Amino acid sequence: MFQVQHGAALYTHLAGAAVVSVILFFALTLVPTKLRRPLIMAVTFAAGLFYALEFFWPVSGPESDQKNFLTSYIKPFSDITTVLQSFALGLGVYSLVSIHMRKVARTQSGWAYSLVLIVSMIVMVIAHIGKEYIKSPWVHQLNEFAYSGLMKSLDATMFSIIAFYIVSAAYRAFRIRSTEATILLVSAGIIMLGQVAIGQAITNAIPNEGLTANLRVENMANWILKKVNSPAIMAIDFGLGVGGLATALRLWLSLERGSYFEEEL
Amino acid sequence: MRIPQLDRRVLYMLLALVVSIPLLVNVPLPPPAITPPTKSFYETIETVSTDPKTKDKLVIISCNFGSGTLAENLSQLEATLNLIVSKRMKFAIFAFNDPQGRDLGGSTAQRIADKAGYKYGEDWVNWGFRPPQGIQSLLKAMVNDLHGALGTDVKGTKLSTIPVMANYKKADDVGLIIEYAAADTVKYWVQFFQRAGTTPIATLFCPTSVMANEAYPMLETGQLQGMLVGLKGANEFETLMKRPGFATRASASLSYSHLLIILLIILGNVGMIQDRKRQQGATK
Repeated sequence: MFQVQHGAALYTHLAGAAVVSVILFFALTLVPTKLRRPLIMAVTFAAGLFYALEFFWPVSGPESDQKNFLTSYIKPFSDITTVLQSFALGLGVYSLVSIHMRKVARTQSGWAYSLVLIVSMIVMVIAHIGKEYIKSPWVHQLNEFAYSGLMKSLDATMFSIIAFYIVSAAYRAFRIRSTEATILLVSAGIIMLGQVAIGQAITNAIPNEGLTANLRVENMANWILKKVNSPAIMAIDFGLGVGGLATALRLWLSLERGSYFEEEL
Repeated sequence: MRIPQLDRRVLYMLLALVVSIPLLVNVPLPPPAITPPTKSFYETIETVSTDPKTKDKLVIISCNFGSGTLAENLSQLEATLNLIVSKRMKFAIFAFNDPQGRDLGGSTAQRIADKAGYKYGEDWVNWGFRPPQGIQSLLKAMVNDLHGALGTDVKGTKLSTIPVMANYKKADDVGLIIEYAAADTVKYWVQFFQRAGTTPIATLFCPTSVMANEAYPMLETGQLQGMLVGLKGANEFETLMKRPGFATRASASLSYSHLLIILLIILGNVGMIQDRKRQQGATK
């Protein structure tokens, strides 16, 4: 349905899509208040129904290419989803920038942080998008500086800080105050030792065959992960799955109540 | 002897030393034991690369990580890509959860591919990044039409015009999926792609250590054929390949930092017991 465009055709299609979108959004604002909720309910139901029908409808054709009458529309639906998400992204950026611009303009408390956010955002957008389309070396240098030099390092630094909190928490909070805490501590100790070479070396002398192999720390750790951890995770996942299905049904059939669902549109 | 209360800054300094010294100075360490998830990971690549039914199929390298987890995910990517290119398997880089994955995966693949004499477009391709919000519908669309669903590669070239993609048009043409991630994104491949063709596609997972626990059930059920657990998994994989890299060097830091944590837990508990006894003595 939608073909990839290049060159002048791409820009013509982009302009056309923008015009159609503006007209569509304008038309939506003209919908009477009473009709807005039924309209949203109908679109939500139709969108969900497409995927449900496509999944459950019997397929036919050769074994390697089995389809039903809806299968070929998955791609256009995927494109539409991406376009709608892009609008949501645009709305998010607009909201973020307007809030922080206001803060800077009024020099409210913490305005300097807002300024850093806006400047960083502009620099990163220019550098990262610019490097795809502008041949000039300064754009690539700016991207190297902003992305590779700053963002990558800052991102890694932020993540690595967790290790320091873990060490501090392990020393201060991991105490054997009850039976449960003791079981947790012993299991954690075995897992930690079983995950690293130096821990595994403690029981290296024990043969890795026969009954004695069960005494090797990496095998004990693996047993805990597979036979104790896995069932617990499966149980949690099962509960989450059932809950997710119920929530999905409520959203699809517009039965959800509470914030965002009962407000005047 | 009373255990003194260690200041937080002392703990931080100890950890910094324990992590950084083994990276700067070569600290001897026994080779790691090869755990079953790593062994099956290695064997799956070996099987896919030698089985006549799968050896010429495409390998999808799904890079869903950012710089925060470089130490773990990039080590896994480097180690496994080295094996894949040594088997002369064709591969595609793809990212859908973190935009950084496109560049991090692409630049690593470029470096390893250049060394192996791989040519972009003929032996490998970078599909680029797609937004995570529409990934379910995109993966469903990719099952029957890779070219149409993905459209272009990272350079904007139509996939249908790229030589390496000529024989890879749908899920049945994919022989292996490897997901490198800082989150549980492998579930999308399992739910929407892995079994959507005529035969199930072998799927391997390279999570960070903290995410690995959630993936163990998928190993048990056979939805995943193997897993490299964080940096330690990459270290084991490098040991299996007899090709030491960053993971092997960094495993000493990992080992000693784990030991430090265990030591601190013991110290903390000994201190707590001492305090308790002292309080009991005082009340008597």
